[in-house]
Amino acid sequence: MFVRTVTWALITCVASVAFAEAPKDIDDAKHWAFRSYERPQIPDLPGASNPIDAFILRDLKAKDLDLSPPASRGILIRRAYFDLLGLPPSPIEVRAFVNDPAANAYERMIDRLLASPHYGEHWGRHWLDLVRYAETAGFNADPARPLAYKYREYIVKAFNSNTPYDRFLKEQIAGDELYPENTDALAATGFNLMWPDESNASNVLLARQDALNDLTTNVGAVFLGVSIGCAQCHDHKFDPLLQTDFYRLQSFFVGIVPKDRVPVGTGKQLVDYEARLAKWRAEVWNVHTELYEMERDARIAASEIKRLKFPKVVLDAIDAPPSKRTALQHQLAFWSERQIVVSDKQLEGKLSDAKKKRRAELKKQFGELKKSRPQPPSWANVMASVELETGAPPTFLLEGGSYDNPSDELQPGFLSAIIGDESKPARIEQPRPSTSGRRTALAEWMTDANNPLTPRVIANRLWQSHFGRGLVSNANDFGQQTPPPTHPDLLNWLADELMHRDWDLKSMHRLIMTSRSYRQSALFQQSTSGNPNHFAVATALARRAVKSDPGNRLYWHYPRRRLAAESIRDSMLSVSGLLNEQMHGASVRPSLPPNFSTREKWAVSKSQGDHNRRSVYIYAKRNLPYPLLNVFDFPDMHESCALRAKTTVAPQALMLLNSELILQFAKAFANRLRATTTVPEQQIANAYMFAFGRMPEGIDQIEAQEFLQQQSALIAKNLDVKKFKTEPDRQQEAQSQAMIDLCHALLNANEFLYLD
Amino acid sequence: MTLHIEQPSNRRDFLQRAGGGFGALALQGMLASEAGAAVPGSRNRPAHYFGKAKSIIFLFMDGGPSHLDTFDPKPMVNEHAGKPLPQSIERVITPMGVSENPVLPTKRTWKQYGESGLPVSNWYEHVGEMADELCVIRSCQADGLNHVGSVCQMNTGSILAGRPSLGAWVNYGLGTENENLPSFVVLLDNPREPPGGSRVWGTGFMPATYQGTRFRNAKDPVLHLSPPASFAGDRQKNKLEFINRLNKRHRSPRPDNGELEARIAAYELAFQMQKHAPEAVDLAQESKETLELYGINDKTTKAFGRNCLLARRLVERSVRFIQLYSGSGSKWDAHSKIENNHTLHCKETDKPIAGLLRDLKQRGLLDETLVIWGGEFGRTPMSEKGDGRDHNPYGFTMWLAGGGVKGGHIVGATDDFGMHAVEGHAHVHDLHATFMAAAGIDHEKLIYHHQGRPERATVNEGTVIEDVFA
Repeated sequence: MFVRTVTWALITCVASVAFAEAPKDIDDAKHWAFRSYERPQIPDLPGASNPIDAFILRDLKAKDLDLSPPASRGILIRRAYFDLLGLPPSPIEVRAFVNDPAANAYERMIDRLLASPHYGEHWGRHWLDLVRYAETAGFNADPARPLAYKYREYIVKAFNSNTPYDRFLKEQIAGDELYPENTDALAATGFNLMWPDESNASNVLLARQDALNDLTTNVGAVFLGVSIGCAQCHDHKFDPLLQTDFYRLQSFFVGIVPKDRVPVGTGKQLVDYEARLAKWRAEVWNVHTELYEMERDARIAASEIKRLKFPKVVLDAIDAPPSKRTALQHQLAFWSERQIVVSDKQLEGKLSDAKKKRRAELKKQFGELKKSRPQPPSWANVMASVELETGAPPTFLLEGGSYDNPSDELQPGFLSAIIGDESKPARIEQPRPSTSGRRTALAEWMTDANNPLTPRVIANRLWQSHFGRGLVSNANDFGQQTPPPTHPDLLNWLADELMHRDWDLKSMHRLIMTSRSYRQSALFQQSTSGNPNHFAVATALARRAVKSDPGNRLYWHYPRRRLAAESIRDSMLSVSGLLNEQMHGASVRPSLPPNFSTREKWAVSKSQGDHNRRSVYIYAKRNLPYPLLNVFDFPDMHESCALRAKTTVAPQALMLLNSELILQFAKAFANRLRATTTVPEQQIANAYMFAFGRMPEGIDQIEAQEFLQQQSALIAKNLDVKKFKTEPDRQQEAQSQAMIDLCHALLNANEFLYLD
Repeated sequence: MTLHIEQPSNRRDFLQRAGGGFGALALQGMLASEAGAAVPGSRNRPAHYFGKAKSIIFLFMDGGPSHLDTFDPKPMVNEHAGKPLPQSIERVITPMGVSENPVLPTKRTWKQYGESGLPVSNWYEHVGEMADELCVIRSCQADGLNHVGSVCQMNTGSILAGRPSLGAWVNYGLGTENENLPSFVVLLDNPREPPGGSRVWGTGFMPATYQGTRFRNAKDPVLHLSPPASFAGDRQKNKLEFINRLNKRHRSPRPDNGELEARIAAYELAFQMQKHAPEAVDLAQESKETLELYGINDKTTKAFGRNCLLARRLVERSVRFIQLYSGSGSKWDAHSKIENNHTLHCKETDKPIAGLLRDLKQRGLLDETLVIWGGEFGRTPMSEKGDGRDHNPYGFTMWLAGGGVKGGHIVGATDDFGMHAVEGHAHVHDLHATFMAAAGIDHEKLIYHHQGRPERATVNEGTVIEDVFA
């Protein structure tokens, strides 16, 4: 491993004048991920018109290996559909593609898929895994975040409209500063608010710090592929990430507060609006402050018991009128005021008559003044992060990572391992008086053409989505704890190519998917009859390769893989004809298994159609992941998930075999088959086309027919003779139930769940 | 290093993974590299020095039982009744802000039991009879103030969600000995789930293979264990055979993929579980005396008694980790009227727990079973609302029995008022290290690589409390 790293570092080490100086520590400086890189030369190899193949073949040839032969069209269409849409092709689509005489039939299919709105639903889900997307805050109460789904809507739209990745990153980190006129960009800043949050925290300082730590850790993992979270308590044990790096990175975010309604307008319009607002406030604050201070004693009296849990620093924050609060006090108030709600009635009960009278006057005055409040061009109801108008509270290095042990104050700064300076503050320009520009500066730095991490991290994620594993195996950590890339030149080339294509993700999908490497077969056995499902013998290539590269690190065959949880459920809906293709909107809650949870609230969606929406629209509740998805390795919604686990456990088999839900899918599937034809042979053929995207072979037909007969006989024995009085009635019922069992079996089959 | 998302490389490997949350071989690798020798510089002795337990039963008193009224007698509490704690006792934050409240006296009477003379209050008379088996740790400490964080920490080591539970770690470390049952089972005494819900027996960043399975109080203890009646019997059997045929033919040109074979095995196991799980929870096979021993014939003790008896049956069937919640849904949380609250919950658990210990002992299972009693924290000496006690994570009691621990033994101490642990501090991480040591796992060596970080159950902290072991 060490040798590889060094050799490769020698090839690619080119100092970028503007961006990086070598970090001080020589050993750390050698770690590949933190170095700048050049666009590698494409190896000149015959048969490699796609540069990806040139890189892959160079390494294969060096080991006397080769790519496997191309996969059949029937397999390719299935692979492409699941990779881009997360859905199976319909029988019509399979037939059309398999029989398409055009030379560029494959390329045209890829283009069609990339233009499908289902692409954003599927690829967006990869992104939602990374940002630990959830619509609840977690902890005991797990309260709803009612507008979180707007972030999911944004993600689906952003992928569908092929938002360039640099812009996509900027919108999420700093959409409110950079594109305040764009409602989607404002929804994108929901990224900054995905932390779990304890709604009834008594240690509010800790809750605030936990949120910031969680955000900092995720910014590092998601965009930069560094495990900066490890540097929260101490300098990173393995990577050149300092504890000061962690808090300097955190400092870009310390000024944010969550909002569910934000002004919309161009930067210029907002500058004007904010100026008018400031002027208006100058008058209004006096009234509001008098009101707030007058009410203070009564408010304290009315909330005496609830206040007990908070330390003085928090009580001081909420007792100060909003006009006089510091930045930190505003944040502490955010975490505590929601826990101390005093009603008007409770308040009045604690006020003297004189005060009540004065209060009424002030409230009236305040009400009048509110009418003249300046308005921005428009408002957006989204879950957005914006900055406190008071500016950001100071950021401290926390000794041992303890919220209550601050030492040096730090300024926002970029990773020292990359900029070669541990203390140089970032250059920040303030876009308008209400926001500091810190996050803009960070987003600009992350998307700078010379940043060695950002483009390689996303290029690796793209690769992973098509091959089931990244060129770097841990897509969230390019540090020394992760083995170096299997194909470093290819990774650098892909990253550079992505930037050359102006961060155009769809064109990169197309580039990868049109390579021979992607189009090769997953089967490395030669069929004796031309049919891949027949008894087969290993190819000469496979016999060599299983010895020299048993793990398929070099991609001498396409890596087979299981469908992700959502694709399993969505496929079942699709083949059974139940899928409701409606997009966007608030999330849905399909039924849960009986008595599933007595603890968590789950208001089942009223419309049955909502139960059959795609899985990406299922309510993402931290304390209750949807059971069918959960059993197939849906990620825990508390941490960024770079790559789904793929477990094979008995509860999955139990769920697919015995749950009412899957039986319902099987029933609908069987009805669909019966609706088109009454000939059993034809029904079986259609069933195979829907479920596996291929026609049944002779042996498949025979076995399926045998199964239907056996099953009919077994079912007929137990039919209620009162309900099914005549023999033909019974036979008909038994046959129709047997077809349900056949459909159910196909939905349970490996061929349904695995992609070649 | 063990890679966890790698495809299983051989039949044994995939069979290990194919189980219903049925374990892995992490420990084998770990012990192999240990070769029985102490590692220089290691704070702990080699793992297998301690471990006798093959199974762990964790009796979780959900909501926080009062140590002052059960296993940690403090005469000064009654002497100071009605007065605030003396200034010598450091003030703390509590969720309800009771630090200056008057001390609430305890109404308990205490008795010294057995040869050891271990004191136990009259809320736990039956457990007192088993005092010579108990190793009482009086100096427990946790970081959380409220239930969800503290239950989370007692289960996962961290007050924040996202880490694997202790049962998942044990499952990951030890693997399974019974492939027909899940090796980490959770039993609740009422329909409410503990704070955090099923997350507290989840796997966090580990694969689902190691997660706990909640056994429901029904003929079918596991969700989706049986098909709807009309699909059951021969009809299901024939369908399974058909699925098997489909899968085998699909596999034949794909012999490289262990996952495909694992999935075929998972269906076999699901079918086995369908047979074995109902048998495991069928108490009809138990004698009248046994049912009586666990208090199953009494209304108050029935629910927890049944779960205790199930725990013994699961231990007999080599289930690794069994967690029983008493008062599931924070019912021990006696902010007011602690007399009523604890009288009830102690009664619900006293006889069943004593019965469990006695039964395990008489069947020769206690030595190889670690029993843990405790909650997410203890309670304050100060009163809340005049007749309750607030949360106390600063010093509280848990006890262990079986699994090679010293019986009739006390470890650590709190101050004169039971407010702070002052001797032999036993932080949650130390407790977890100790529980794992009892099961033969060295918490420093059982590592799971996640996001570039070598993760340990004890969050890279914790020391085994050696004084616990005989």
